[in-house]
Amino acid sequence: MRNFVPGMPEFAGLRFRWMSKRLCRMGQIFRERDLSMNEYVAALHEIERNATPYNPMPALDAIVADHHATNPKTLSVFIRDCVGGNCFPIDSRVSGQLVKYGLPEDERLLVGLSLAINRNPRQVARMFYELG
Amino acid sequence: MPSYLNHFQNFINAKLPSVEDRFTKEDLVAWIQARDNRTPENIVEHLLKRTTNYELRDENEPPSKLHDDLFFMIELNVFRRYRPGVDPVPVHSSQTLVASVETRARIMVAPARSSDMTVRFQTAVSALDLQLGGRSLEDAVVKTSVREWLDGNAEPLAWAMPQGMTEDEWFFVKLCTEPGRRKRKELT
Repeated sequence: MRNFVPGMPEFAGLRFRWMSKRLCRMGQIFRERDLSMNEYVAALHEIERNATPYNPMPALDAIVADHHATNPKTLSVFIRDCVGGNCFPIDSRVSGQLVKYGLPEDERLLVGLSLAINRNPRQVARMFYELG
Repeated sequence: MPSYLNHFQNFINAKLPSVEDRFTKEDLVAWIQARDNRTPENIVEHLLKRTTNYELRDENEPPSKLHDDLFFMIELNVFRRYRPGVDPVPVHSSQTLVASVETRARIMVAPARSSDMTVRFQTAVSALDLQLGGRSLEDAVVKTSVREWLDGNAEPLAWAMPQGMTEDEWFFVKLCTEPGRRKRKELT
């Protein structure tokens, strides 16, 4: 993955430009920091240990900053399934459920609310997804 | 009234002789399924419609009526008979949002956390818990479906195979290149 660079012919079949850009950015991060994916995930784990009620999802914030991402949904899923950090991925199915219950599409707020009622935000997000 | 709906009043008569008698949705589902071939989901939906302090009881058509004011939820998945004049006034769609929020706040949320948004969120999560019928979506359980997705039940990418990649790398690649496919595979 460290070898991913812009313009690779293998990217030609991807449906959206952001897909190859994100892959290339990941490769760039690994090269610049001399990290493997395992080490990067371990670093995110370490960052997540600093989570507090006022800073509930530091690992997600870190990877979003690394990727300069404006739409963090994909990165949020990565945090959920690979890092096990606090997050609340919002896709169209989750969005529909949020509308149904009069809740805002605000990932940080939803993570905070989950923690406030002593629930795992990842599990709650999956519930919203599953019934969406 | 169709006979199916009579089961709810019959359940009260048979299983809840005292106003203090409690039951879970599993108790009700088992009792009705022994008498009527309905799905657990359908029975739970009817239970929630007949639960006087369930905020979203009127989500489906037709909305609840007075004769549906049968049950009261004490805590998550613990119900008893509704006690008119003792329990809070039932939530009906004709009520204002303010009134129903106050009702929920008294019942379901500790006072220190009874902000409107927290109450609304707690209500939503409680409803989803009930609809999922105890199905676990914990990380360890879902990990299995993620692994199946990674290990090739889905079609492989034409341009990149997993050889030489770690699981997390492969996950990231597939996440970035097949997000729609993952939606269909996850949690099935």
